[in-house]
Amino acid sequence: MLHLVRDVLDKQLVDREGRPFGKVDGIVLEVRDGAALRVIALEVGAATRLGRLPRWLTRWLGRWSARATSTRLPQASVVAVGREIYVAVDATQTAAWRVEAWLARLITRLPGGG
Amino acid sequence: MKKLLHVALGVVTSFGGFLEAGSIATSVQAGAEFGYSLLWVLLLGVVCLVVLIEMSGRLAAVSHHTIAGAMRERFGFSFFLLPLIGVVAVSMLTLAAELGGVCMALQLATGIGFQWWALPVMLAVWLLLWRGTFGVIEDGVSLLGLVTVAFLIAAVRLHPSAGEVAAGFVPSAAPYAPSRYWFLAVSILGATLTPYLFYFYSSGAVEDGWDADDVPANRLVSAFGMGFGATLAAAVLVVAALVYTRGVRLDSYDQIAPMLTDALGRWGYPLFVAALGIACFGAALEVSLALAYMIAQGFGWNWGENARPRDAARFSVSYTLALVLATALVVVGLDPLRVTNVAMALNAASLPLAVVPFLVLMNDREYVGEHVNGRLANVLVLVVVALACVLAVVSLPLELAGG
Repeated sequence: MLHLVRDVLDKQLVDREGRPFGKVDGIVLEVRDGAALRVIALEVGAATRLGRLPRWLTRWLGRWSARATSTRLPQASVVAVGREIYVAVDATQTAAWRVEAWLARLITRLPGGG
Repeated sequence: MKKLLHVALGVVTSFGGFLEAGSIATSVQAGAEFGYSLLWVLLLGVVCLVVLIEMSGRLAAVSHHTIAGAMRERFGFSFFLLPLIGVVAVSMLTLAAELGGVCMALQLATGIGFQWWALPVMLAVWLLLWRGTFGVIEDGVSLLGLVTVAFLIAAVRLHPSAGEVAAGFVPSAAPYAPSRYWFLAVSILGATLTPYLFYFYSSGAVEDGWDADDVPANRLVSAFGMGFGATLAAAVLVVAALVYTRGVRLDSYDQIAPMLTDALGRWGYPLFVAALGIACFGAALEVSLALAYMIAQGFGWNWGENARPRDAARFSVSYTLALVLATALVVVGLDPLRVTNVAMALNAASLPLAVVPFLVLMNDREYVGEHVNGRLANVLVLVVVALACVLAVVSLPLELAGG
């Protein structure tokens, strides 16, 4: 029996190449009349994280928080849930990798970075 | 045999890496102003440090989690931000203190003002992190740190009275100037129990791939490494107690620099300068890494000192930014010794944030299984942390207002 908050939320995400690419920042549930709650996706990204903070703090962060994005990982892509959560996704193709990719490009241009 | 070598290396590097700007400054000031009477605070701090370092290694060995990573998981993102921001803030100040310590050592050696050294020192630290690997950095710098044995030799050569030193280990109230006494007490606790230390230690253990078999070795390394290391801090205090006129207030590194000349003659000054420079340089490496570890582990980025910078881009950029910001504090000319004093007291004030969630993890069977904390460890850590925090909150404003 999986406990969503204890066993899934905030766990390390690992993509299909073994790259760590964030923590599970949110869980997307589907609510239907007469049916049990169903997990349809995991979310990773600043937008989801900011949504978990107290409102006064995010309001204070203002415009910056409005520009944040998140990536949805469909439930079907989850391969294994253990100490880490493995997903059959190429992290580099998601928005969650944007900053890492941008910085990595910057670093390869520096002497010695490659 | 290999395990034994591993333990021996761990003990030697913990020993060589023990002293840094905070422990040198607070021990010297305590010895000069109050003789041996603050030794008991050092002892209390070290016992608690041994327990915390052992816990940190045990968490990593059993759960393969770092402290920051496990905290984010266990307590969720919002709560995790509290210890993260608290520890990052005081560690930034600690980093400025260590960089300032290296710069002061260079000023003492060359006569060129410490601010001029800030950029070259930052560059040297950064290059080692950028190009080096964990083992080279850790072991290399810690072995060089064995020069700090000079303090121990000096203490022995000054023939302190064993009875008087022993009496210092008995807890006592302030003989005079109580607000200064308790401020130094809290600074010693902060310098001994700097949170970056145990966050750093768990990261190293995970990076080295420890498992449950390493639990006994971890116990030995933390007890002996930190225990021996603490004798160096005690030696600094003892030397200061013997060479300075009782009650003299040391407000600059220039006053501290000649402390070894009575015992070691013409070797005293260069040895002090080398010890200060190397100890602070090693600590600067560790604090920069610890800052990047905490952030990267909390957000789930790729991290590791053994990864190439472009393969752990956000991690590498984190320590780069930390170094730049801390260096700025040195460049603007904040007095390194003053920064060190304030940083150490703030380290003590931040302990509840840094330690209490960690303590919860160490009592959670989901993480450490049968290797949960004993009751004695829990009580000891809670008592020392509460004491450090209360003392810091009371004495820091008094000290800032008075100084």
